Amino acid sequence: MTPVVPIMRIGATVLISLQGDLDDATVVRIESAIMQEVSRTRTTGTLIDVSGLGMVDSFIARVIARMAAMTRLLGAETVIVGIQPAVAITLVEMGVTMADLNTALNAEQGMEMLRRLTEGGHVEATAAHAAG
Amino acid sequence: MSIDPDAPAIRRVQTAEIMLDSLFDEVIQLDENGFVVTWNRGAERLKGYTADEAVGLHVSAFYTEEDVRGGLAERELRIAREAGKFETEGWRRRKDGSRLWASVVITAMRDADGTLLGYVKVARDQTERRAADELIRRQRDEILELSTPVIQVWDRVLALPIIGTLDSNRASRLTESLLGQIAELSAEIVILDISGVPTIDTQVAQHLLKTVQAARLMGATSILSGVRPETAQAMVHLGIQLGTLRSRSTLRDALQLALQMIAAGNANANGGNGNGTGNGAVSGLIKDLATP
Repeated sequence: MTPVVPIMRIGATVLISLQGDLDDATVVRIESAIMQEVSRTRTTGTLIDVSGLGMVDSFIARVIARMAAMTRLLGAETVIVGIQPAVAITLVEMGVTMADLNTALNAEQGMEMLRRLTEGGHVEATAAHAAG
Repeated sequence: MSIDPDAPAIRRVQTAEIMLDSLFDEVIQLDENGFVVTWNRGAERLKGYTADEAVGLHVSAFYTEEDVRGGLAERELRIAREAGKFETEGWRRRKDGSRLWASVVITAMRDADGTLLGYVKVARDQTERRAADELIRRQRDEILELSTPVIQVWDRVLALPIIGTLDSNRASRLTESLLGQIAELSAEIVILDISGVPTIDTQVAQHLLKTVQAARLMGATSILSGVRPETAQAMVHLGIQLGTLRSRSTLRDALQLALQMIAAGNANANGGNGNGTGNGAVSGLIKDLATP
């Protein structure tokens, strides 16, 4: 079974909704789909929604960080949304703090954050990234 | 009671029976299919059946209806048969239908050739101990609950007044309830007030930082408040690093900072950027002031 890569475009924002259990092959396919989508159109922000993931382990955490790093290279701000309480606790226990990533509670707040990050505040945000 | 090795076999058997009946614990023998063969006084005390009533019953007669449906008795006997012994605790049923919490050991009985003769089942009533354990656990939970309140002090701002010593058990409870509230109330800022914590050592600081990190993964920025002068001194002397966590001496100041961050619409973005967050807040504020 080949899961459809769940990418949605809202204006200049690309919303990626990660679902179910991810394996290596799926991750690579999703990554290339995202990269094509982000570079094909003028994307200023990407939201990665992880609320649909069955579980988040260190592998998935690395995958998320990698996707964020890639989209950033293509000039898009990235916000991770939908980390559930239990997942947050597990990640912290594993020592995964995603300290250099933007996080927001849900897609709505994530969009709000992207708006702030991209409009006018771009220089500031980039400077902050460089510091982090 | 001493047993004369020269006494006739029948006398020894009688002594053994008296011994079994003197026990307060249930010690019964089951045949290889799980039917009761012998029943001591302790079993009568525990389950309410006399020996006459119990002998010949299948052991599942003493299990609760759910367990009978689930085939628990058969499963336990099978494990005892395969492993030699099975230990468990669980609900059992008395003759009058009431329940008791029993600790049970089932041992397979085999002759010299290894042929299964049946089982010995030893059980003890632990209902009271279990009730006491439950009570202690519930009270501890209640104390934990009481000692980790999460208060919504403003739209999207939560305060967590921490009172008393923070051990890892409490810290994880606190983190859980905080994260739950963040999700429920869409909070963006969390004020962790430690004015009620007697001492902050390395471990407590570690717990606090984990809470802060978990909250951030959910998109909430934390502010530490209630740091007393002596606490600040101790923390620096211990080399406790709070990273990018912002800190204020009073809850009032922390709330003011939170409101400024909310007003600047910058709470989240700052939290997300790791280092250099202070500058973000300031420039956000300046931006806000510049555009009335």
